[in-house]
Amino acid sequence: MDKLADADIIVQVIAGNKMLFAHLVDRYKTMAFTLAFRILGNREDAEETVQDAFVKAYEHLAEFRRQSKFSTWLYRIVYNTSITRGRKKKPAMMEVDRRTLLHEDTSQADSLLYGFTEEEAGDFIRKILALLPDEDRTIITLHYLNESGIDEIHEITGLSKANIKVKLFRARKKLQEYVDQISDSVALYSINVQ
Amino acid sequence: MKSTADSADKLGKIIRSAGFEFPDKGLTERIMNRIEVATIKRPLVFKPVIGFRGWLLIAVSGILLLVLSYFLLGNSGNDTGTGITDSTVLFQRLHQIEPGFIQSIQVPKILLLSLTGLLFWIALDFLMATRKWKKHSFGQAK
Repeated sequence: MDKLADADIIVQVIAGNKMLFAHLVDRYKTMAFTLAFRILGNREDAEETVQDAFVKAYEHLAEFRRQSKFSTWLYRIVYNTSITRGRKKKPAMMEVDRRTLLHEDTSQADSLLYGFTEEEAGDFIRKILALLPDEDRTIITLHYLNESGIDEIHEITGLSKANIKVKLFRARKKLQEYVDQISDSVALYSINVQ
Repeated sequence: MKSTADSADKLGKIIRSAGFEFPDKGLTERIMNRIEVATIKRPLVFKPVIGFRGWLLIAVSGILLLVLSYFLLGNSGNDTGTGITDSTVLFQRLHQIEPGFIQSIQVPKILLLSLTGLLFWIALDFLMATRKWKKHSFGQAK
């Protein structure tokens, strides 16, 4: 059943076999959760948003026109639901002070650059991503984790293609600056330690 | 000095190293519990009550009625007609057709109003059938 294409599952779900929808949930819940988490910044809100998004997707499955991939359509719902929730609720995104990050987390930066555990590196990168504006973070997440092109990001977020290109360029540049600054801090840290 | 491509590739690797966020176990079950009580909403599709053939028939009938009303009811608003059995009048009228005769046509008011109403409904039906309804935005924020 795992080999069944999304389109076939959708046809069967619309025909009344609603339990098959679980396969679509299993396939896309991780990326959907990642996307919601990157926008909302906390697990509870992200999980509720993902639940709401999947229920909305189910209720409106008959309106899915198959002009795009099911995942693209679903992530658009996740994105819009997250944005709506984020506006209703004060964003609980972990605010990371850049200076704090640069001065206090040099050990993590060290681990990132010198190949310590993936978990440590992952935590550190999440903190860096948290420094970006919501839309930039979403675009970066879709581009690098979902491997979405400009067209797909445009379909998901509704932002213009030109705007996406600009935001992607700026976000990359900003991230690169953070990474470079951290590299410098680590270099200084290493010198001071020696 | 690193090239831009190398730099972008390294940045990509760093971002990917953060990886995905994984939801708590049981998310699928919790979603499916909600799906259990949810129903698929059928999209509202506009279907004209009268189909293409129906409107064609009405249009042809209307035109026929208009033409016959000229021949059978006469070209005056007060003319009540001479009756369908009076075929000589019909032939006389047919022979009277000459360039510019349309300007001389005077259709009874009741028929004119009926045709105007009919045309209005045809136009409305056409507009509703061809209009592209905006897709549901699912709580779109924009």
